Amino acid sequence: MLNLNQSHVRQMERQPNKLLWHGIFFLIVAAIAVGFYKSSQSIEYTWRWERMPQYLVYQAEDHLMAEFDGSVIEENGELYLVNDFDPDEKVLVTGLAEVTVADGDVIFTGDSLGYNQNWALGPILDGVLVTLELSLYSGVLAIILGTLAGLARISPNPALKNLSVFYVEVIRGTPLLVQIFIVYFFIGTVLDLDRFAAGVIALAVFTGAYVAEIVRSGIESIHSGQMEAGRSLGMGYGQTMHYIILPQAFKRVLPPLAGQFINLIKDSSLVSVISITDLTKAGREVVSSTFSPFEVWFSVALLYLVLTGILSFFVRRLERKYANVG
Amino acid sequence: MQTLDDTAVTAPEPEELTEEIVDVKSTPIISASGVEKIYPGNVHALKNINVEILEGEVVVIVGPSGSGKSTFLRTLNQLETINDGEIVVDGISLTTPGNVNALREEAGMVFQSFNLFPHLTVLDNICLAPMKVRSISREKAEKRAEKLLQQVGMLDKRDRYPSQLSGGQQQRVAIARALAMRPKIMLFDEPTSALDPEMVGEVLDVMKKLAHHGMTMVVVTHEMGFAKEVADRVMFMESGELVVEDTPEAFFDNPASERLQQFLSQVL
Repeated sequence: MLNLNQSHVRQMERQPNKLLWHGIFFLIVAAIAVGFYKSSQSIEYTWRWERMPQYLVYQAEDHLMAEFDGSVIEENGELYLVNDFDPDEKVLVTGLAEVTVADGDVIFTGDSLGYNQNWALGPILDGVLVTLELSLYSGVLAIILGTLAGLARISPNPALKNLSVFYVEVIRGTPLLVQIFIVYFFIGTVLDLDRFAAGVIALAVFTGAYVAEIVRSGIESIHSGQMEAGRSLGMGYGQTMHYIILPQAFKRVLPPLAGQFINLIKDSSLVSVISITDLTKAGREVVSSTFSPFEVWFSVALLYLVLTGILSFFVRRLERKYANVG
Repeated sequence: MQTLDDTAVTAPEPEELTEEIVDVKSTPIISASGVEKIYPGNVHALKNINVEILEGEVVVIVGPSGSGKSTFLRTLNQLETINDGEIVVDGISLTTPGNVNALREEAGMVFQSFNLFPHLTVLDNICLAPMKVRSISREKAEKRAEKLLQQVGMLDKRDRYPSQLSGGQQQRVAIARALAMRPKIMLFDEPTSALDPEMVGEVLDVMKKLAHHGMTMVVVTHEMGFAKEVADRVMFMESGELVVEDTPEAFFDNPASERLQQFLSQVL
């Protein structure tokens, strides 16, 4: 629909010179970039982008530790660790990419004999995984909660309806940050929740309120004749909802729902206040060890942008898939 | 309660009656007495309506817009509740709670705006209710749906979506959809009012065929030609009251009230 409208507008208006205006766009972006660089120079900031990659992925050393005191002995070209007091206790030093001991070394329990190198996720990418996990769990919970609340909102039963209105108004009228504290310090203490569960619940309850409104408006946007048609065929309220109203409403609420989940990914950064090491908290930790706040926060922002970009890409594909019917 | 075996459904299938013209106009299948409907804001939509409709009868209700004819039709399958009076359809009293779904299975409804399900194909539109309400297998439901589509001349469009059909085609599918529940009564709420003029005929033809096969029909329409040709009885409603109730001959040639005369002179 939107594209149709845009093309109508374009046909009515005089066509701008596309090449010129694209050029101007790139000039503006370049000017902003130069502005950033110049202003960082004016405060004598030293950019150290080369430090960033190690916080994304790094080569972890997996050390093999000695399990008893002893000496290293070479036999037939192979190294063994032998207990000085009990020559029968003898271990072949093997399976290591890098051996750090040599013939004749005296070894104590816990000393490194050598190590293997593995690629491992740095704190920033670990944070990305935590953010994804948080968003996924709370997103699923929010859909369930929001759909139930949305259905309750249009129910003829006053108790259900009032409950839904109460929930939506309370959640939308208070800051998420405050809700996270309440869930963590009050509900979390009462129910003995760990911080991750508290974060998921706070985000799900918050997003659920917005999903409820989206679901309600989606259902109400379906012509009442659809419900009448379903009921006149002898189908019950639940059946008509399930087979006729909700599938149509789902298609309509897909764009606002996607927007809400993009918000959810961004909002999840707030749970770093209860010490969940998500992407934002990881960023803070890396800043305190590198003293390179600009690089870190630009990288963190870019990673959030990648996450939300991937989501909106898939939603757009889904929308196109459903667009052909109805 | 519905049994799983659809053969228990007693309503005759129209296609089984092609040769035989049924004429059992003796037992009342719908009886409404003292029906009152008041909308919020004190709009008195129906005033003391008393009607008996016999099995196999075709009743056409006409009247100016806002006269309550659609409201009355919709009370017959409880899309509108009534404030007073009683409606009994096929022995099921609508004032008893819990009877509503049982009744709606017996009374098929065709709407002015078709109300096909836009997210389902023509075939699925027809199969959905029999499968979900009567618990018929998909295979069986599809076979029956194809038969009905054949009758309304829409079999070649079975896999299309409603948005790909013309208004007349959509309305014919809507009729097939209502018939798929094998109703004993068909209610038509201005079925041709939303159609382009050249499509009215194809829908009326389907309705005529249905009437000749002995279906009990209550039709709210502005198509006076249909009323003259097909109706057993024509009713005239005005401001919520049932003013005239007559055979089509008497109704059109010898109008019983001055208001009806005026109405007919405007629409004919």
